[in-house]
Amino acid sequence: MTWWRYLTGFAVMELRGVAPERLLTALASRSIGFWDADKTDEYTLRFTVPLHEAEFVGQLAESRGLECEALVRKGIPRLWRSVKKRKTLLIALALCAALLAVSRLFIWSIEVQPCEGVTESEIRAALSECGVDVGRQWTNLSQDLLRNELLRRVPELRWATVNVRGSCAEVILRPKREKPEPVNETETADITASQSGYVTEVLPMRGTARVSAGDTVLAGETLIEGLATGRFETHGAVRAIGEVRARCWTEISACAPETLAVKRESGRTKSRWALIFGKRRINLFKGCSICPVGCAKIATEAAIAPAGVSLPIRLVREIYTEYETTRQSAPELREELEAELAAVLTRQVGEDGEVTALRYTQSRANGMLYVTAYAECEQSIAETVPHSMQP
Amino acid sequence: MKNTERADSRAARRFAIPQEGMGPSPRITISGGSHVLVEGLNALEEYAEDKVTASVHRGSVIIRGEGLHLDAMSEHELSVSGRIWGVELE
Repeated sequence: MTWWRYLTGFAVMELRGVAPERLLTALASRSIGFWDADKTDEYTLRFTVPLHEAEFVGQLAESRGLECEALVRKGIPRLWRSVKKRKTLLIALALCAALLAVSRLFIWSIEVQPCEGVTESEIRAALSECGVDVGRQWTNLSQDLLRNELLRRVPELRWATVNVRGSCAEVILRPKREKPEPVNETETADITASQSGYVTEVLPMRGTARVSAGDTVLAGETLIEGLATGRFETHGAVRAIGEVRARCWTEISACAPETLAVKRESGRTKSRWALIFGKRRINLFKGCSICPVGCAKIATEAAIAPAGVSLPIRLVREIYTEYETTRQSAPELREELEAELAAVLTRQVGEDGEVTALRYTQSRANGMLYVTAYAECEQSIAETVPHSMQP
Repeated sequence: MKNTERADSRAARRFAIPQEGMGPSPRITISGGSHVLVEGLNALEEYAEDKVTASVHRGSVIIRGEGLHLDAMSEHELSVSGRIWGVELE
């Protein structure tokens, strides 16, 4: 009930005199409620009464020859009395409340959930064409129409929805899954070598193996023939299925100019600030925001609003970092090229493959640096080739 | 006063009516050793941490104890809590 007492207001009174508790009888007979009565000493009594009764209690006490003082006056009515005189504050509060209520009818921030195969900028562009943009009113948006329009404009999506909470639009997307390529089981095929190598393992599941572990094969050579032998020595063409692993040797090269210029940050940075109200930008610095020569600019935006509330105000910070253009040193260039070659090899061998040995060589010619990687890999070389496609 | 009292008692006995139904007689209820409710209150005479005196119809009620505290009070009722040592009627 404490909140109720604060809502109606209360006052802590102190009575001083002879037998101050006798006033409580007078209060009770007049149905004036009181609580927390506490006698601090023989001649002093404190108690709490409703705020609107405090004045009457004071008059009653004085009429009985007691000293009465209101130590504390609290509650909403007291607060209202003090605020009532400040008309400008009341008007400003009312205006803020009205602006907040009206601003919630508009979208001030759009959050796009990441989606495979589609960039956020594509989604935002499509949303803008569908009428979902910062500063637009969301109350007349139709979810179904919006979804259909979005799916029509972005074919990579399977499903989309826009949920508006307050002034924040949350866009949830689901990408289209690629249909797996159907395999024609009735089409006869052989398994051939995708590249030359030294066979380490042969696992035929359907068909007849033509090579075994330890054989050396060339690219295109048949490894498992699509031919099945029956119990009574009958033959039939089938689609060969199996796994063949081999050790392969690969040589790939990369090159780059020796005089390649790169940007190096000097360490000096400078920040500039701006405010965005809705779609209007106000720079808090002199001059324009074009990035000067010799600087790189990174801009970040942050919303200025309490948690859970979206307001049309965003703070922009632009960080300008000075850089100098220098030549990349030869060791750095070589390291970069070697890293690129290693990444290419890893993609080439696939998830079930492994690069077992790797070495690099470098050479220079005509102002170019050439790096060559010699790799030994353990990988699958099985490739299904239908009989219809064979020469 | 004496004749009225006797008449009240005689009428209560004759008509089998409880004594408290015949007039504004006080009722004191003690709960445990920590709460006293006095009904039929006329006025609160004295209030201290160790003694509360209330005047009732035909006398006074004195509550003695420790840490006595006025819980609630209305025109005819008084509720006191604390460590109650004794209740006296005068």
